[in-house]
Amino acid sequence: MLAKIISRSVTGLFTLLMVSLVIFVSTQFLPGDAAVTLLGDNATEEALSHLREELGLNEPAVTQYLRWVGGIVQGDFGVSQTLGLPIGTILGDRFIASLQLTILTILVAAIVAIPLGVLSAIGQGSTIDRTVLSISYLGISIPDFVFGPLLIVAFALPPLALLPSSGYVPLSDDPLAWLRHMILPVTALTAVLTAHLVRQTRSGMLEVLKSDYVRTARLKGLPERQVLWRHCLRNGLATTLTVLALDLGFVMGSIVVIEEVFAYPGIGRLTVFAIGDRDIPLIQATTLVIAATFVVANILADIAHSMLNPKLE
Amino acid sequence: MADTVLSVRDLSIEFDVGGIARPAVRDLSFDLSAGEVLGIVGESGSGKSTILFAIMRYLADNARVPNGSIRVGTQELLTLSRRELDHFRGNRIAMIFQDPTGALNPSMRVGDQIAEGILRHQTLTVAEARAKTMSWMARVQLETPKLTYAKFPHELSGGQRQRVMIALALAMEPDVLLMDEPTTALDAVVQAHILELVRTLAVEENLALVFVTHDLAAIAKVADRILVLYAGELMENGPANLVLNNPSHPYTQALLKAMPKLDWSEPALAIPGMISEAVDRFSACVFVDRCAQVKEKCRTTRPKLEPRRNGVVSRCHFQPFKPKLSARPPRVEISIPVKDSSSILQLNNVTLEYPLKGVGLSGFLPWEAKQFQAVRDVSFNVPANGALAIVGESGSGKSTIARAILGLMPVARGTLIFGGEDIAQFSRTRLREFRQMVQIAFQHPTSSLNPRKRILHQVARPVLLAGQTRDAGLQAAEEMLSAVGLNASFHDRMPASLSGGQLQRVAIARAFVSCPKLLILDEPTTALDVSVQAGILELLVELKLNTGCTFLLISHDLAVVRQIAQDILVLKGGVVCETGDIDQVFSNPQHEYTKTLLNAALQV
Ligand code: SF4
Repeated sequence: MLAKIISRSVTGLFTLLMVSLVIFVSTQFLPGDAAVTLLGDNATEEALSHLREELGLNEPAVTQYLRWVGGIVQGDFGVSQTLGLPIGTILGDRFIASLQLTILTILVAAIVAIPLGVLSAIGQGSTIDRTVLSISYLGISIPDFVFGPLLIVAFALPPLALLPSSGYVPLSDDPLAWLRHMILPVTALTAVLTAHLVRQTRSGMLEVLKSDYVRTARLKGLPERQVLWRHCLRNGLATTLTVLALDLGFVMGSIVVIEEVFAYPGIGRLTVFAIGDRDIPLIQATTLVIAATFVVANILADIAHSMLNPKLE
Repeated sequence: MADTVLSVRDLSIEFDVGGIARPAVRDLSFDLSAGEVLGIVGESGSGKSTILFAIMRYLADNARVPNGSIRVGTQELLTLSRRELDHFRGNRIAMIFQDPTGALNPSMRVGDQIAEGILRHQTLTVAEARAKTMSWMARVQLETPKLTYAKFPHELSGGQRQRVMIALALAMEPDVLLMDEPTTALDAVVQAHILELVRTLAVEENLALVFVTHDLAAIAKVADRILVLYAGELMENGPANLVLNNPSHPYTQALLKAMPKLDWSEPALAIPGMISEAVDRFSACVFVDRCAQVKEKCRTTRPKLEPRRNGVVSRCHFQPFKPKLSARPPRVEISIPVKDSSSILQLNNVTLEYPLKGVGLSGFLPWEAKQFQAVRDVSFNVPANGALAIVGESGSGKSTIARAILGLMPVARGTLIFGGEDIAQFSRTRLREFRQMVQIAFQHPTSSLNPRKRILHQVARPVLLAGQTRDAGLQAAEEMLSAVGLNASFHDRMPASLSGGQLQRVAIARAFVSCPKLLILDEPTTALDVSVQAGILELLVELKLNTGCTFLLISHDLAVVRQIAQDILVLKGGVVCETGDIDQVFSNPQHEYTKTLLNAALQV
């Protein structure tokens, strides 16, 4: 197992290195000039070339890339051109804010979806099953950028005005306010995910319920409850949990949109801001961090998968 | 009998399919005492597995039991409540299935799966149940029970898994054990061992054992009594040696003659026609369409179960015909004298490897890539007009060789020579010609047929691909279909409406229609019933005679191989053990493994 984790981590690092290369090369082709962005359109040619020298923009691309990656390895993401601050400090808070959103979303999805999926599989064809299926169908078909604004209209604006429509309060400042700010974005993010997960859980469980080893367990004379707990759940949920870990990456992607809708100060919003202002070091840093969560999610999924399937060890 | 343990009386089972009651079993009765092994033999559609599931009370939701009774001891099973059933299953009757791999929970240690059953039905502590599990593991001859206890199913071989299943069932100390094709999925050598084990344990445990199979040879090894089932009807029931050596029912006689013989003393004879699934089939004799001895009375009246000599009962209007020994047709001679000794296909020191792949990203980087050697350093010749059989158990690499010849996998080392040229050096046009000259028929014909195209067009396709006109293609297809025994009524049918044997005929027609030089037959009859298999073997022999096509037959079944092949190559673990003329190898095997295989091959 340890060897597997190490091997996957090495593979993950290698992937990230590739990703960093892609990010670097593609940002090279973005229109605009970093020096012009910084000094404004009226800057003198002299001042511009001086700044380019200072930023190392005249050096060969390879040197620039190596310097960038070298910096990241030491924890230095460079300086944001528009904010004039070290990216590391900006990124830290935003990342934690986004991570809270992501983890909460995953948790809610799992807590809602897994029991519903299991129930619906056990009672295949029953009223519960059919209700769960139709609602999950609805969940899958409404995209989150539509669902988010709908939620705001329904719950944040008058007449109800129950919850804040935007912003973020750190958990340590005021837990209740934190929660109130989380509810709407988490709901928006979790809808598609839950729907997807319910279906995954249901089909995983159905397959197990039909399997030969469940038949063996029943014909041993085990009561149905024991058959479910001892023989169905672990096997039926193996894929679900793997998918859940993979979804961590998926949520990180959706966050870009949802944070913008709810004006939530996370890494997604930061990315949109960076792109809008052509802040190249910031674009590079945020995309790399999002890519890194993807890779970590993949590694986690892989590990979860092999822990639940003794076959793969 | 005084100590009857299992008693089935007038049992009928039917399935509700779209509002129509389709009968599966009709008026079945039999008794079984402790210490007795009953073999139920039947082809697909006979209802043999349905009977076992009815006894377990585990029939599908659409099944009905309109009449009958199933008793274990004095207890009627058909009226048990769900709760009572849970105490009955495992405890009084246990069941073992064909596929031990699917039957075991993949994420639970095998020892725990056995102990779970013990704990359910016996008041023992966990430690006692573990100890009992291990002693049962020893009794089913699993080595190092302590280590095996903690293993997961995938860490065991197929034979070991079936031993685990046997321990699992017997550790619950049932009175009745039901086995559904328990050795069919296993290799011949393993099968022989398991059958021996089953026989021993049945005696030691004084079990009432029901052993269901399609394989008369396997049943001959274990059964005291044999019950022959056909289309849901009991045809014959009697002491094993009488049923096998002196069958009184026309169906049993035909079934025995359909089995390919290892010594080639007589050819396997097909039973023409198909098993009847008609709803009203029980108003006549269910075998009426296929019986060689049919008379007018058979079409109008259902025969009663008549007692014959020595405790045999038989469902036929007539006393048995004495099987006339002289009436057997002469042995078919298929070896065409080899005109030229040139070989059509030659493998020189061929090694074949599979890459081992993991999930997702794993395995695509150089340090994670691994190779599995499926075939090592194999060399052989297929003489033109000849018929070579590659024989081996699962994992021997025999199918891998076929894949490599077809160009479906790369050759790691060595050369493949076809018609004097290295296949690897083929030009594009030559490769296209080669693909027409080499055809294949698989074990499961459905995998190579398009489910949404009419039979005639499917068979015509290879001709069209070869660049001939549509009319020429359709004409060739018509001729070929009639050559494989499918008349014009089949031309416009879809694959789904055909039986397994008919589909295999279509696949063979499709392979033959472009006049190949070499036909690869990958387990061509393994998925078929014995009575149908004999027909396909006859057909292949006939086509071979008429076309002079070279055969490369891949099979695990020595008796089948014997019907078709002239030369044989025995493969084990990807390495050649022995090769030579089939008569010589069978009568005087040189390699130990060949001897083992020949000994393990079951014959009635
Ligand atoms: S009853 Fe007639 S058709 Fe049926 S097996 Fe006997 S002879 Fe054949």
